[in-house]
Amino acid sequence: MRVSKKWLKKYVDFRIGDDLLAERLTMAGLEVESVTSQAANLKGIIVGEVRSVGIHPNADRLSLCSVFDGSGEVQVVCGAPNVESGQKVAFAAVGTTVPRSQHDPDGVPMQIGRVKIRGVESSGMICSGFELGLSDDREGILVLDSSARPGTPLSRHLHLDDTAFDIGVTANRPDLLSHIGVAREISALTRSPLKIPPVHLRTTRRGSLPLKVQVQDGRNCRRYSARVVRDITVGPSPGWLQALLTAAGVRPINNVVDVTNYVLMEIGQPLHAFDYDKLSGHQIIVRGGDDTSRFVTLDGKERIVDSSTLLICDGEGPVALAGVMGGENSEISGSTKTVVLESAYFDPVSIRRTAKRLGLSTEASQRFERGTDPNITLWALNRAADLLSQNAGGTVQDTLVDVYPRVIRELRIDFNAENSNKLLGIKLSNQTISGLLKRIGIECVGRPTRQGKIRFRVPTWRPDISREVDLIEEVARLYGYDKIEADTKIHLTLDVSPSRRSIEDDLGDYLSSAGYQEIITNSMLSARESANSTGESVRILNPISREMETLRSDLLHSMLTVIQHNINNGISSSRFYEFGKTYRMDPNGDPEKLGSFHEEEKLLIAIFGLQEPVFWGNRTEQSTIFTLKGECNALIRKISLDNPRYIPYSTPTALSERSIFIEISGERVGMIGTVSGDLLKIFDLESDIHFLELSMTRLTNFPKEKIQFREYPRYPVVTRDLAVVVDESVSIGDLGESIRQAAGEMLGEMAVFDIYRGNQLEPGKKSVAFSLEFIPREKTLGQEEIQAIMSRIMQRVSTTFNAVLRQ
Amino acid sequence: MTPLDQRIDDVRSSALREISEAGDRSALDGVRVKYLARKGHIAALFEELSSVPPDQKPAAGKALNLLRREIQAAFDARLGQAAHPEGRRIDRTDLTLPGKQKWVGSRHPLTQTLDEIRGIFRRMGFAVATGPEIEDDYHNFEALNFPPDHPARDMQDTFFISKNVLLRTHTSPVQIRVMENTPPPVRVIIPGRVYRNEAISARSYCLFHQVEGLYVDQGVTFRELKGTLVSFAKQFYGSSLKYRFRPSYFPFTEPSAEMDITCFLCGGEGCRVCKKTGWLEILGCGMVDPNVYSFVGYDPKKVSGYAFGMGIERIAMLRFGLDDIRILFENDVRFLRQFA
Ligand SMILES: [Zn+2]
Repeated sequence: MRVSKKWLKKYVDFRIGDDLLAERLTMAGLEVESVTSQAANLKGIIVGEVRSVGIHPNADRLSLCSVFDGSGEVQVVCGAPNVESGQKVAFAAVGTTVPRSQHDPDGVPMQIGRVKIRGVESSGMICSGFELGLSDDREGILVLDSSARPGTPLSRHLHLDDTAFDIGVTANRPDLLSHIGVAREISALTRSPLKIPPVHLRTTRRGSLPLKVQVQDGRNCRRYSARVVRDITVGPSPGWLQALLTAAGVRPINNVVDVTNYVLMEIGQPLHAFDYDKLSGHQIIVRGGDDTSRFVTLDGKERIVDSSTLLICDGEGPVALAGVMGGENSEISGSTKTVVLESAYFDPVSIRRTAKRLGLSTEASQRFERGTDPNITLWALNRAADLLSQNAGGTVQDTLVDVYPRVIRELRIDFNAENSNKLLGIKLSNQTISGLLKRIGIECVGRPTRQGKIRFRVPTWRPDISREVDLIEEVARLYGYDKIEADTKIHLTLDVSPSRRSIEDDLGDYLSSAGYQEIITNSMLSARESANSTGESVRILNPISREMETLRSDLLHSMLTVIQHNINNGISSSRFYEFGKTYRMDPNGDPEKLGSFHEEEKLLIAIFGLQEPVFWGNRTEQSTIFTLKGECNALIRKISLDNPRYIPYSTPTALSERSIFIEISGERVGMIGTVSGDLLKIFDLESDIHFLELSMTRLTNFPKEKIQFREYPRYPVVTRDLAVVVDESVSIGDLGESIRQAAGEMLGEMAVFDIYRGNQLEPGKKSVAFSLEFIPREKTLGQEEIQAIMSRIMQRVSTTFNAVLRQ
Repeated sequence: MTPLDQRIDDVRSSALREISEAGDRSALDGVRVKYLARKGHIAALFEELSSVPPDQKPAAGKALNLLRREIQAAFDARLGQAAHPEGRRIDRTDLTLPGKQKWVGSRHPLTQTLDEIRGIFRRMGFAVATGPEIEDDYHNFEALNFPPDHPARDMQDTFFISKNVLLRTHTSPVQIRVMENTPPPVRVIIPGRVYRNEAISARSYCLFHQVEGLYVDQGVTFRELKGTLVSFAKQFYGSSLKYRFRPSYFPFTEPSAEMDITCFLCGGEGCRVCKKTGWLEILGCGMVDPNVYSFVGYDPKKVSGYAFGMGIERIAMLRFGLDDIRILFENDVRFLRQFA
């Protein structure tokens, strides 16, 4: 809501500076988003006189003007078609800033410099209405009236000395969508009385024109007031009216429309003016739409009307969408002689539904759907009629229509100061509270009860106040939030469980220290990217774009987008991880039921390129799937869960070329894989990318082992190497498992440190070398004991795998 | 040649000679004291600088600094040799070779910001709760006192999955879920991802992250709400910060407020980031609206409480000086590396 300072001053006399006013309004909940002084905006721009217009030597469409700025003449190149010698114009000299650039789509301010245009020097600019922020006219320059004196500041010549405040009005305060509403707050802040101008309407009884009004849908149209004003002459509004509307951001159109807009901006009551002669049967019927039909609104667009749309109709059919927009068929035109003014109260929900359905939000609908004051329709109607008679030569008929079968009365709310004080943590007396509320028109009625309760009467312009707690908020607001002292004593009545770190925190910290970069990506993807094997992907009904019409079913696609971005930017090695959710829907699940949807928290790690930064001391290896297999062990150990079991799976899937599934305690918790060639192709990637995915949801569900100290053997660890030759087909995982079983409890860490194939061996054979670590339980391990274990191992592997000890 | 220049030359040649002649560490240390110490020859020459004519001062100062560096370098080099007593083989390893590098990772700036916020509230006794991103209308709107067909619903542009199911527009539905499942008192913070159907630009993204807080107990006051948030802000932004609370509107709190702190970029003078106001809005808050209690089965006559919420992206952007939210979701390593 943009309010004009001059306009506000009609209702309340305040004498504080613009900045202070803005701050006080903000602190009262009327957030002032910007303060714009018209004069400041036009600073440096003056009245100029075009002394001569010549032809630009190098461009047909440009003219070469000589502009007199009050002291001398300067040469200006001008591109406007309407520039003529003798005109008084708005002139921006070199060094001034015009509010809006004609060439910028957003119309940002532009500083005028001395430039050469097509080889000819230009020292300044003749401005258009658009550039000055005074109109939307970009085509031609703004021509001032001939009385303008060259050299005079433009703002003074145009009487543009107003200041506009842009206020962010919250959705609960329809009353603030008007100057009187804002003035009421200023009056409360400055303790200066609010003056609402009385309306002295002169009406005539002679030659009455008939008007019949019938409200059929009384539920959605609670009040309908109307008047007829005849003998008007449509034309431009007087300067003062245009100036106020302009300052409040409303474009002047003609005296009839301007008057209705003026009253709208004054008190917040939307009015509509119909051309009386275009109303068939000179009647108005307020009713719901009967069937689906089409109707052309004032903006020239065809709208589909259905049975839920509240309509204003004449004898033939719709003439307006009630509370939203009028129709073309009853529009005021230059030849309109008689108007019907409508001032009504429509049900907020009905108007909101229509506006939403049609995607049509207007100044009127915004106010009706928030709730206008049902008891100001007459004041607004008479105010507008009076202004029409003064400014459009109209005669107001004395017949007044006011259909208001059930009066909406002011609410009375019981208020207990104790409740208020308890909630806010302050101590205010009944008297103080009544005094505060009185400033905004909420009056105390009757005397306090024996229990100390008081009763307040809430004016109908405040539909947001219906409960005691709503009044408490007003008390706090008027008292001043800043006067309520902060209480830093925090009481602890809760049993607070020890704040344990989550698994996610542990893993994230581990990964970051291990050189992995955390990423956070968009969870909305295209349907193709979220295609899912385990359920249906979750579709968004109203996506921003096709690229974001579903929720992801894996983290890999968004990860690959990030990798692609970085590779395209010259990064050749990286390691990333992301904690994020994946989403799916039960196949054939009911989309209206929340239970059909599933979210799973996952961790995805992906690596590509070198395993570590290059080093002069040794060759640096490329990352492989085994890099992540090893990382997986570390991660699981980090969160102290059981050892994982790995199940290799060599058949390619849509996502991976080869996979290793990870199980903990018999439950699958994730997988390790190499990104499939198909997927790489989609992302136009060439390097191998390996990934590890873990379900955080599942990992979190395992009971986490409590760390408990156990006595450990304090004898030196003994390490032995063992190399065996086996057939190529023997899986090293199985071989290792077999060794572990044969070795028994004393075996600690076991590692594979070499795999050899070559001419020292028979074809089809490989040699695998293990390093085995034995942890003695009782005493220092003797040679014989170790030898016994090693023989046991050899015996087992030679039986199972036909293995031979390699000498 | 001025007398000072002459003396600089003298000191140079005698110092270099003595350094090269020093046989062991203790002899070398004697030379250091004689020339380089606080009362050594070079320091004495610096003192003479004050009596040099002003026009020659810069040149003389430069010459003196050069002398000091030269002597220091000669001394350092000789000390390296002297460290090895005669007779031991000198190690020829080039120790200027680079060390074995490691990849350096980091948590995402949003995670770092959230971690810090969460840590502060944990220490103030808040537990952490989470909830689903796919929500129903009831939890996201209705139970938070957004009636159907109320203009307040326009405050949050919503992505819908179906008529009744949507992507949560704020973390506040988790307040409802917590209260549905826990009798009072409750004290939780709720971090999470939320979605808004807004055009993507430098200032807004289709999703972002919030931290929500909720405390309901007997006798919780607006004063205490202020106290808790002031305490948080001082721990997060520094104890000297100035703040203000101004009235606002959220359907699920009454009274509602927004908290501003003095713009730390301009110190309150007014700049582009604070839109010339000198204030930065950091969070929304208020006393839980009694209507909310009736949805979750709490007795509004017995309990009161407060709720607050803040956007992590906004806080991170202010903190790290970012002016485009999209950079947070692009994950360019050149960006992420800055947060290691
Ligand atoms: Zn600032």
